[in-house]
Amino acid sequence: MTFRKSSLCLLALIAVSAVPLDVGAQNNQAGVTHGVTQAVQEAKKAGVPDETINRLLSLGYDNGVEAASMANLVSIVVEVKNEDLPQEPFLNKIEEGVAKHVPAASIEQVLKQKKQDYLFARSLTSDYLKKHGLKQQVAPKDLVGITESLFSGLSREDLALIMEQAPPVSPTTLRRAIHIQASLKQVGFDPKLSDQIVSTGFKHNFFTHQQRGFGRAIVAGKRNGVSDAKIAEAAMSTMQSGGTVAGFCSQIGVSFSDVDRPRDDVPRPLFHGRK
Amino acid sequence: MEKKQPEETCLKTAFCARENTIGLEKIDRIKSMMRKIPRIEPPAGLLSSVMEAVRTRRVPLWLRTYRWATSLRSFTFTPLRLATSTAFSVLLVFSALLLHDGGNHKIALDNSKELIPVEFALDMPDAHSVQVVGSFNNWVPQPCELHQEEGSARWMLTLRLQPGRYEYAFLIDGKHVPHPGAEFNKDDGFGNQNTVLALGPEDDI
Repeated sequence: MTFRKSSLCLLALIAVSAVPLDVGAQNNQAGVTHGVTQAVQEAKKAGVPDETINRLLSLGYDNGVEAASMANLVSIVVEVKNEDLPQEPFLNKIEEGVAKHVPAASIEQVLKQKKQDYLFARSLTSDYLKKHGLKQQVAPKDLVGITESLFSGLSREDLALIMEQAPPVSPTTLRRAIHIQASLKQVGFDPKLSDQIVSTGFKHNFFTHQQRGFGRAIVAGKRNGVSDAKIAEAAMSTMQSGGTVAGFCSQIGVSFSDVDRPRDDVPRPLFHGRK
Repeated sequence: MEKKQPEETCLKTAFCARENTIGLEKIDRIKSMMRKIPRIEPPAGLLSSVMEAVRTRRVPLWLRTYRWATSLRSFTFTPLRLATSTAFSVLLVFSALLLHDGGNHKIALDNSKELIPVEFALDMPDAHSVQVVGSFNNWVPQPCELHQEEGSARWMLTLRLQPGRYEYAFLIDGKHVPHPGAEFNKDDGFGNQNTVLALGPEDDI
């Protein structure tokens, strides 16, 4: 009987102490859920498409992202939308970070930095267009290409310098030139010669869709052991004479088929790993 | 039609009349007996206890499942039905094999018509497992494992992707590594490098 009484007392004590704890936890959970709900409402109000919101929420649910972190990520997407920046790079980065099990706080930090980079690149491009009296709009694809070069080896200073030295060209041409510059920097190409190649390309309107593969040809030549000076000389003579990438490849001893991209009607494997 | 004899019909009618008379007599007897029964009030709770006793108890789902699974059953089929179900099963298996072609290791990540085959090849003799993760598979490695050719150090996988711009990396024994020798890599912001892959008419790397 005594045992029963003491057991009942113990159970009662546990129950009494557990109730406030549970209430507290529920309040906390409710607050967090409210945070997500509020963030989602703000996202809808800002015009973030339902598909995007669902994509984010299901990603968070599938990967067990905490509600508070989820609310923060949704809020950043809202900020991106309010700034009228392309959302896809940010959504992709969230997906990548979550899939790679990066802590949510680090993902938030990366996204905030990315947002600053996009604002910087947009402002720089806008100033460039104004300076040259160009009334073109910067297409999202061009803005993405220009900004993402900051993650491909170019610094903000590099980007500013290219735009400062570039003649009046379209944002698309600008993006292609920036890609070439980033490729050259990644393979450690002589910086002076890189600048010469890019400025010659601008001068002779070489950075067009027809000359795709040019950057890869330079990289292939460099990897095959051709000197920077020889590559630069061949590149600039090709640009000046209105030559083609195929001609440039033959000058530096690179197979054009290695750098050419498949046409839509002739699909074929692209990448062959090299170690 | 055979015509019935009048004598036979008459006999049958007489028999039926007698049967009816006996039935009525029985009912009258029961009625008089019921009238003689003393009027007694039923005890309280009789109705509920009777209802409780006769109520059917719901058997738990697991028990019903167990009983269903352990009871003997017989199946009936027609040759036509058997042929149809066999054909359906074969179709299912064939579809699964098409999706994951063990010989060529081709995986279709998109059902669109404009798919470009991309061959991922990696010389990595010491690796135990190689997967590819990227923006084309939401960075999830499960369906994109590279397969080692017999007697070769080369790991291979062919994917069919839509034209576009992708980032990817290899997971070599669980470690993120950009494509060795790729032309263009990017910092992923999380301390690793991704390789950039541009497919289609608009690529310009």
